[in-house]
Amino acid sequence: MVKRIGDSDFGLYELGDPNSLFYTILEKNPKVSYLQGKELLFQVYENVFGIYDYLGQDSKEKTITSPDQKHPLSSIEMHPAELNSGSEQKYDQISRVFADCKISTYFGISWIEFMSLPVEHAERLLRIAQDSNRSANAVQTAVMNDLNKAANNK
Amino acid sequence: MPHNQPPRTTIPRGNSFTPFAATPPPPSESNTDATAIPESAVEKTIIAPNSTERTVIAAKADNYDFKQQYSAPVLDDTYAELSLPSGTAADTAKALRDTPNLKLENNPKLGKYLNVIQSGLEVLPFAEGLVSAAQRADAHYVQSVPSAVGELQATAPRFKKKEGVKYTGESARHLMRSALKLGTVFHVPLWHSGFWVTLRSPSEGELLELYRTITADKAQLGRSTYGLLFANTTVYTNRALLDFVIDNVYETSLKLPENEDLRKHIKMQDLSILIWGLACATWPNGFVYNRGCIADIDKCQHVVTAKLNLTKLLATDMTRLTERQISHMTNRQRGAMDLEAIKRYQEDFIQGHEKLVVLNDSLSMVLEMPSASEYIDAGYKWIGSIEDRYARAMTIGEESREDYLMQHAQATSMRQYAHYVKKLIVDGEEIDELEDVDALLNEMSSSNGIRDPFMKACAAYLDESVISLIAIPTYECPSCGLPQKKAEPGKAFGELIPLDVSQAFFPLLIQKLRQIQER
Repeated sequence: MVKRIGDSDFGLYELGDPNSLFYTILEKNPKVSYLQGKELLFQVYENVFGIYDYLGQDSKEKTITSPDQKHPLSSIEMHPAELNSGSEQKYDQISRVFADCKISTYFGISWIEFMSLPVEHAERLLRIAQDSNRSANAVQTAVMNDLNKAANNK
Repeated sequence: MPHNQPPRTTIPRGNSFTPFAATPPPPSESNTDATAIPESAVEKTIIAPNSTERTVIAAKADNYDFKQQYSAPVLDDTYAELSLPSGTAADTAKALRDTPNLKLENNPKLGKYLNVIQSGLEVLPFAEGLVSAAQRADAHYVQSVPSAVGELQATAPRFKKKEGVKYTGESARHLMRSALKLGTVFHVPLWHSGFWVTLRSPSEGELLELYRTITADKAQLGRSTYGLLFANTTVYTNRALLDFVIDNVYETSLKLPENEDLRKHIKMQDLSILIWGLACATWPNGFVYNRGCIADIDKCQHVVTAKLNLTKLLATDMTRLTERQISHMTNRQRGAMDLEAIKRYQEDFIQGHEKLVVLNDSLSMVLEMPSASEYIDAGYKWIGSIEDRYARAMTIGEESREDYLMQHAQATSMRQYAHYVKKLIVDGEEIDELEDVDALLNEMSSSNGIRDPFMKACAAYLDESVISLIAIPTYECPSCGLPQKKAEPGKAFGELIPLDVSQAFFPLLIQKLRQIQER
């Protein structure tokens, strides 16, 4: 599974390894020009932090025949690890919870109004709505059980 | 050692921009002596673990007096969790060193305990920063400062309804929140800056935007520093958090000219107070916290679990404030103070304003506490230097690359204090242009004779200038009954443990956002 930049521990441990590619290059690579140095360190960064595997992809590209598998724009590609989609997912999740809990039905507020409530207020509404939904589901289940029982008795 | 500090030392890192990370000079002998307190002066009531009664941890020691409870029992499980340290990094490291035979096998309780200890270390300021300020023997830290109009403290005030006033916009929103008894706004005293800010509680949508901003910054800065920045998250989270705080300022007691940026008038030491204030406004219901006993790890691995009242963690050193300053801070109303009043307030400080430091016969410097925006700017300047430094190192033969990086790491270590240097005085000539000061600091960095006293003077200046900080007191373990720090004969063990606010509360935001997924 790809570790994403939005994860709180992304990048915290990678440079702790003394044998990491970053330090190996920094200590042993022969001197290069300034621009080459920047490019090299940047590629090493992407490799070490799991953003894009230049070494693996480079060697693979030599044997790949299908053009779809090649990455000619790798230096400017949007790599999965750098996708800032965490917040988008969280928006989706909040929206789903808003719909599932029937916040609008219970409290008569829109999604925009809900999102602009202070956090503790929003959480309170969610708790109340979840409790109400649970009670409603329990009543519904009991009624269905009674109806089924009555139908079976006939 | 916090896990985000790579332990390797072959190539000099020099990549910490942490003004609060100053390694303070060791406490003087007189300081240590002054911590002695008679046994009778310590008042502690700690009830048995798992009790449903209120946990009272009120300690009275030489330099602090925490009367208000920061801790309460956990009544439900809807709160995010935070691990707090039981001692400073040095005390915790010593406790762990003294217990070399801990075995994790078949002991899940020990696993949880060690996790609490490890996570607790992560919310301590880097390199024992603020520890000597918190343990200043001549300090008297209090949670509220007494004044002629009552206690001055950070609070969530009740909204006062005024007859005949039409409520519109933001004030209508506050009226509604107040009527619903939700944490409306939170007053925070900025003792270093000399005014009050009132923060409003942000919404869930705004917190999501903050998360998105910080992640986007992290991605961009990670690329421009080859990932070296990831070990030092405070640089980029502090800017986003400061901007977020400013966006959530409801009002301030400082009357600013139109278009004037509030950030310029907030002193750097108040940045963490503001971030803490925002956490108080955001989560008025507090957090569950865990603290693991480090008194004698072989015998006791008890973890205290209780609910933290964030609002009780602001500790202010009364001895640093004059009566005139306290009187000035009684004016909390919107726009009650002008810039002249703030200037007078700051001039009253014995410590923390301009200070002349003589480094040698021909070199002196004038130190001044930077504003929050100057601190953030300096952090970004430092970020900019990383890319250049490492790329330039690659243009040098590998045999001398380490020396090059070492030299620049030394320069960096001095440059991290550059924003404290108002001017340098070289042979009687004053140099005060920012670029010139930076360039001279770079040149001086190779001289141990200047670098060491420079670093020491800056660290001492930073330490002396702290008036208020976010801290928790040490405690006695409710299970083994031992204090978390062993008292030397006749000396106090009660002391404050400063917290790194952005490290402590930003992960809570992530944790809260994760909880959304579990609803």
